Amino acid sequence: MSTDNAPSAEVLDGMEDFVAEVRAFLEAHTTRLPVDDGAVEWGRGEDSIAYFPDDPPDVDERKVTAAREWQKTRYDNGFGWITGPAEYGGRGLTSVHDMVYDGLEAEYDVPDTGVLSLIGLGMIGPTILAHGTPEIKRRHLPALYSGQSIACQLFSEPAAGSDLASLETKAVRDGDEWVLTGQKVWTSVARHAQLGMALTRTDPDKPKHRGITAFLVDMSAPGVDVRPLRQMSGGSEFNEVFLDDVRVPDDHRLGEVDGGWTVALTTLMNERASVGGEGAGPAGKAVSVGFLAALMREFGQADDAALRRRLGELHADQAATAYLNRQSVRRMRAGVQPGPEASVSKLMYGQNLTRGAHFAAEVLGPRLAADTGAWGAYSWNELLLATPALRILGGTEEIMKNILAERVLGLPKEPGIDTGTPFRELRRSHQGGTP
Amino acid sequence: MSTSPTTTAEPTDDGPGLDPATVELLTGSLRELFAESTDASAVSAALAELGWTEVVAADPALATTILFTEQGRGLADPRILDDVLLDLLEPVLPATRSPRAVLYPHPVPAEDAGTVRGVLLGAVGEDTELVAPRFGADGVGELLVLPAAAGSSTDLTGFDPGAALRLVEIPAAAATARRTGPAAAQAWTRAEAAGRRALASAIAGVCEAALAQANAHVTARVQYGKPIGAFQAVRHRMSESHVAVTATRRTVAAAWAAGTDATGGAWEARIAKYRAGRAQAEVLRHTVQVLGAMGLTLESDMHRFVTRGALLDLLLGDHRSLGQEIGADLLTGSDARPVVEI
Amino acid sequence: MSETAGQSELDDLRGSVRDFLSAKSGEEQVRRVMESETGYDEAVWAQMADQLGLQQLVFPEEHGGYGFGFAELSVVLQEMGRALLPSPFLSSVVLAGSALLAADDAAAAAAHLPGIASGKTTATLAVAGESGSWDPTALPVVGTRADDGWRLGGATWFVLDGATADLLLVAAATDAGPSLFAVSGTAAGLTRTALRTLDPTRRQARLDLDGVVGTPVGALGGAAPVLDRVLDLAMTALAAEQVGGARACLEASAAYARDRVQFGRPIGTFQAVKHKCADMLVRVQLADAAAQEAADAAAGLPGRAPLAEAAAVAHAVCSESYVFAAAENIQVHGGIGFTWEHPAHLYFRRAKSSQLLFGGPAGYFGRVLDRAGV
Repeated sequence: MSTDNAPSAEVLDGMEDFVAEVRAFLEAHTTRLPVDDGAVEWGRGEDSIAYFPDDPPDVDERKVTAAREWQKTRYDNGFGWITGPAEYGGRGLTSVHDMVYDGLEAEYDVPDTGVLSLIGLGMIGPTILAHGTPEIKRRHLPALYSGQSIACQLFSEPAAGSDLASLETKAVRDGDEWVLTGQKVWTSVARHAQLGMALTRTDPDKPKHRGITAFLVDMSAPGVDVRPLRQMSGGSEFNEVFLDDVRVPDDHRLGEVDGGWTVALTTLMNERASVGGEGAGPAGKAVSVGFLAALMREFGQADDAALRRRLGELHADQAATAYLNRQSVRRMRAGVQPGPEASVSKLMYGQNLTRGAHFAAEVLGPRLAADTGAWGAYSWNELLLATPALRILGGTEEIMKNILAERVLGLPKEPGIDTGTPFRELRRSHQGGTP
Repeated sequence: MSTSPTTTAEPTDDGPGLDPATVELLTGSLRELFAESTDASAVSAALAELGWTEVVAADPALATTILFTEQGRGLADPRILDDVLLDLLEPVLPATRSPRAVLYPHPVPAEDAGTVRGVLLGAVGEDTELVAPRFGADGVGELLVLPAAAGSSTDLTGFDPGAALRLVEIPAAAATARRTGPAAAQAWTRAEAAGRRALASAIAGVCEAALAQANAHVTARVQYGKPIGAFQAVRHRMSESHVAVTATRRTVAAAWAAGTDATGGAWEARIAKYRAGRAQAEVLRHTVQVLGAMGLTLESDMHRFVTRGALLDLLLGDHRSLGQEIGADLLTGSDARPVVEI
Repeated sequence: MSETAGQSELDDLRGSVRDFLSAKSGEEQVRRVMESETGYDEAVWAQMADQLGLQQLVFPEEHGGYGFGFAELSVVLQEMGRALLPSPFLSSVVLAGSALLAADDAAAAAAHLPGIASGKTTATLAVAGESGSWDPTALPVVGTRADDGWRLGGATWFVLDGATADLLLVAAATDAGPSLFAVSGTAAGLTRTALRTLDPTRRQARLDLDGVVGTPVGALGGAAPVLDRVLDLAMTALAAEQVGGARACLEASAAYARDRVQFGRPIGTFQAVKHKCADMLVRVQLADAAAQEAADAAAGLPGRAPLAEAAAVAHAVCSESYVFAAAENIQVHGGIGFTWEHPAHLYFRRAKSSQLLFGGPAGYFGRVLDRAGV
């Protein structure tokens, strides 16, 4: 099928040795999944298509352990950090090799390592590599990429969401240490993390972007308190983290004092790169044209002309998004600088998933809201209630559109957004945190 | 339209009417009432104390509108809807001393034609009589009175955990009374129309409460040095939501004004319900979006509005199904009288 | 994009075509030409061939062409779409040209392609009946055998440049099945009526045939696969043209948003305008990706979606995106965008009528599903 995620022939070109090595490793350590021919088996298996998992704690714990173990196996065999430098346990290869590995691994039955990789390995690892001292790199990078250590991002706060630079968590120097006080929110994986990358306010007399410092926090240190946030879609993937006079040694500072915004940008830029994988996972599959068509047939609407037309529209947009992603990969492979494709892709991803969920709601009609026990019907609620998150988390749609308009189209910024005023004098919400 | 948050009703030309000051007073009392007494019997008692029967007699349209708007706004027990329908069904049913409840048609009928499947808006006692329509090929075939004890009732795993709906399946043969013919059919049509008008008002109430919360949030929350309500993307969503709710309320008012024909204003009531159903889908998407990540958590109340809105939409015809019905009727040459003149 | 090695040549090509069209087919010229009788400037058409070799670009060398592919053709079509060039390029080169190539008829190709390639012959393809749908099993024209050949009768509609084309390729139902015939533009029994169109930059005609002589092109009864092939290539070509136009709308909106001041600041500082432009950007990027995939598939590049799928997706996405961009462009420009004198409505007309070619939205969404196996 042309919209799947397997690496294409041209991406694999010249990589035969690497591919052989990866396959040998995978064959030796796990088993191949049955080939997915795209056929939809109605009524088979779990009908859960939750976007955010809602597992009981013991199941959650087991999944994390399995993820760590698999990550260790990868690391021990040279596939833990494909693009990282050898001195910290990496292979020193390119991001294309990374993609090839991921594409091949997807054919095998392995634990989902998202809990480690999406944030810790994909974003914080590269940040430590770019801004940490050699000692910090030695101490933490191998541990991260071998699954021993999980890292989380302590960025957003109740009063600092879209406007992250207005954060208020304080860090005050005390000899060789810093004392951190504040409240972080929307922290994924915090419950399982050993390490947290925290952005703090170290100089309120400077303009907001210039008085921030980044630290690596030991999540088991005294004063760190993690509390889950329950989502309206069920599940609590996210947490609040309270920092109450947490002591962090100065050698765990990332980058310069008051130079933390630059460090944060490194992390955030890697976030853009982590998005993608459209079509992956049960949610992506559930909004695919094959699945939605099966839904229509099952509920007697296969001949509804209006629905067919909307399905065509949905599929056309999904297919075009897949083409866009493949073209970006091709350009990357050819060494061409990426354009706005990643942001466009993220916006389309959210839109496609949302429209797909709403389309299914249309087909299901009343069965969606009142469980009749019909397989595949009520579970759509899990997706439907999660779809607002797609347009909010990881950067709201509104902010992304601002960025596209300003950076790509050159439209002028909102007036009155003052980046030169000292932080102390800025107007802020009075919600949570210490001023 | 008044910008005062306490006045939600539209004035009508019928009956002796209620003056604006009285309406405002009543609205305030209702709001308190629903905030304090959340279960149906407490609500009924409180309404009786308020002298609600006289209010209804003075201006049925306005009274029903503000009652259900506040019920929606307060996310209160939906069971008072039963009274609206029973009022219009009772004349064709045998007299009784037992309590009665409406068994609303489940959107998906039972596979077995001899079983009636329906939804109760709350748990009922064993001695309750359930009143249910049963549909033949061309509309309502009959009205049944069924003993609650004869049915199996399960907790309805619904979209809205805040409403204690029950799914009931009961053999039609267990009916203690049966009414057929045009009188029964018309009674159901009128009851359904009245129910749809009430539900449309309730949906408007849910939307208004959600908008009030969204409004408070975007006024208080500061990002980039100003309240996020100052950003156009947010403002425009709020405006569009406001338009949707206003349109709903106007359509309900027009539906009441038309309610004097033999069908009890069925055509207009269906359109009002349809409009309200669409509005809640649109408005609640906007309010969730402007609340940002905070709206996604259970800590925020917004999810309760989302689920209640969807539930109210579902009762007596969800907007997608009604849209198809209306479209089909228009295409088969039905009298397309406009409900609202623009 | 093609391999990086060819990119600079493609950029050069784009530059030359853009410069040529700015000089020869700027807004003023477009407005003048669109009111003219033929609907295109014959001198400019000749210069396109003689100076830039545009008509020759994709034809095989044996027929007087340069043997280039869809990568080059896409660039040219994008620029033509951007400039709203009124010309019989789509009809002659893409519709008629690809029909002649797909029909696998050496004699017909030798007879007609050199003329088309040189720009001396304009040509078009006539398939649709009054419904506008492109259906080889329901052709409105019938071909009957006569002693001295074939005679065609019936009416075919929405023929691009049908009133001015020198050569008409007409699809007709025959006792052997759907077949393609070459008909002279001046043939006896042929009545050509120019239709009043929404888009004055693209002419359409109705052809009434009454015992018109037609010469078979390709195998008798073999027109269905030819028309399928032509449709795929036509959708791909149209998609490139639509992307060019949509991008022009985006750029116009962004420029206006940057420059126009109201309430003391450029209107682009207002979020509503900003987001509107961002929405346009997203759709244009998506359309570009879809058109690119189809063009790459047509060029036979490896690892792409099959042409049938990519062309249908491109047609759908580019049609929707161009209409969206053109409509939003009017909105961003406010009142002035609604005037006759402003070019925004010309793009809107081109977007709308392009969307309706080959069966419109019902057609393209249906094809997307069919080709996805649904």
